[in-house]
Amino acid sequence: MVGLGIADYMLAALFYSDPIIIAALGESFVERAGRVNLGVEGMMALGASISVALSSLTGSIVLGILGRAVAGVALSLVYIAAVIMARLNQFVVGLLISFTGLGLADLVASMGHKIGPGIPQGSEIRIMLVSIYIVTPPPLYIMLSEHPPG
Amino acid sequence: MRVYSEILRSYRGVLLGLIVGFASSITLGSLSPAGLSGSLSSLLWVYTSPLPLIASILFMGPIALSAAGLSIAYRSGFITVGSEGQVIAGSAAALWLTAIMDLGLHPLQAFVLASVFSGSIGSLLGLLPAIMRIYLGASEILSSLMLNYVVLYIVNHLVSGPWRSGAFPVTKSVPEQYRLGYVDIILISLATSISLYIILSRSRLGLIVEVLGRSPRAAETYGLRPRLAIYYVSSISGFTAGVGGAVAVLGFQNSLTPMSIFPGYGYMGALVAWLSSNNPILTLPTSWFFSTLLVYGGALQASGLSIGYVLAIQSIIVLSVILFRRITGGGAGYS
Repeated sequence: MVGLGIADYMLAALFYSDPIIIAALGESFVERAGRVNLGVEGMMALGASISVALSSLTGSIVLGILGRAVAGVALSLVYIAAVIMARLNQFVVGLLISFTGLGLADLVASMGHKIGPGIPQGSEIRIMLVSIYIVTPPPLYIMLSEHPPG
Repeated sequence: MRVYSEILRSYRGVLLGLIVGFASSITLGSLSPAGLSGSLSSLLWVYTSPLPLIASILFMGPIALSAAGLSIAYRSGFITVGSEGQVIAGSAAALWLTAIMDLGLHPLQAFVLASVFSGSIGSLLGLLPAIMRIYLGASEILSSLMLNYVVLYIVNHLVSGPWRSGAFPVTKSVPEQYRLGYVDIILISLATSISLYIILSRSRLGLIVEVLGRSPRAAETYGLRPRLAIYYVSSISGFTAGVGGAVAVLGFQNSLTPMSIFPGYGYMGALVAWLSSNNPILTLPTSWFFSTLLVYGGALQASGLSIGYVLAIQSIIVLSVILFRRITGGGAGYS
């Protein structure tokens, strides 16, 4: 019997880290601007359940990922309105957004019987996810270091 | 009189926020498997029947206790969310004392001993983020949030390991004679809120807390020893949250099972404190209101909705209230 090598563990760790990598990328932007958004947890949860629901309804993974992004942006707009425009405490608002996102994710998940079988299976999902987190960092880095918003 | 003027000042914002909150909760509830009629009838049931009334008073205990303590901490500008972990630790401590050790005490002795023990553990947990903030400059919000997870997993380990009784991962139950009724819970919450209100309005610590919350530099300049005040408020809020955990386990939980998610009483306490502009007296009705929402969520849970959805409704209400309060220009501006 062959034991698990360190490479297997590293691969497994990589597998579980993709959501964190993508979320941390976005959060690093916020923190560069000197703000902390604790709502990332809620955005991830809501995005996950919405993307499963959408891609299972439409049969298209791209639509699911787009829906996920829209959900995240919607919660970010709430954060912007509350923290930047109304000048409320950023930690308080972040936690509130986090709870809201987690609860709404539960709500979407409880509609499971209307949604259908689940996301379409296939190897292209992995490839798409891997390409997302390989392709996104360089432009973001360039944007941070070369452009006025950075 | 100060209570009334504060209510009046934040009145418009709260009203608008509550309308938005209720509207959104009904809209979201109608998306759940229960449907619009199901969610409306559950909402009606919660506010008209005796059974949910008693349940909401029982659930109110831990929420009201942690909110009352947090309102003092928030007034001083110490924004901790460690109450969740302190409630969990407090309930584990009370369970250990009454169910696992079972010293054969008189019920009153057992209650006093359990609250002092749970409260002290809560205080110690509250002091950790305070020490980290004062000596290391760490944000107390992040460190207390992380500490909640540490406590959750330690308690889960105890419940499914050393304290397990029988085949299932559940502990022994609290013996019948130690359990608290809803009258006891009302009295405990009332006594805590009133004594914290007196501390805040009549004592030297209350004055320091007010000054510290408005202007930390002024407090330092006038020699008010802000560090000492932060130690006091963090241990007071930890103590009440710990007692809240004891009340939860002696009042309605009675035994513990491993928790996959937070039960949420401490987080609700934080939301209640923000919603009631950090006034310990106002936290009582507000926490009862939140507790009715919890019962409402429990009723919807029968149709397959997770209880986490309740926290979403409550967060939406708090967010809209603090937003509208800021927009209409009322409120003291603590949050």
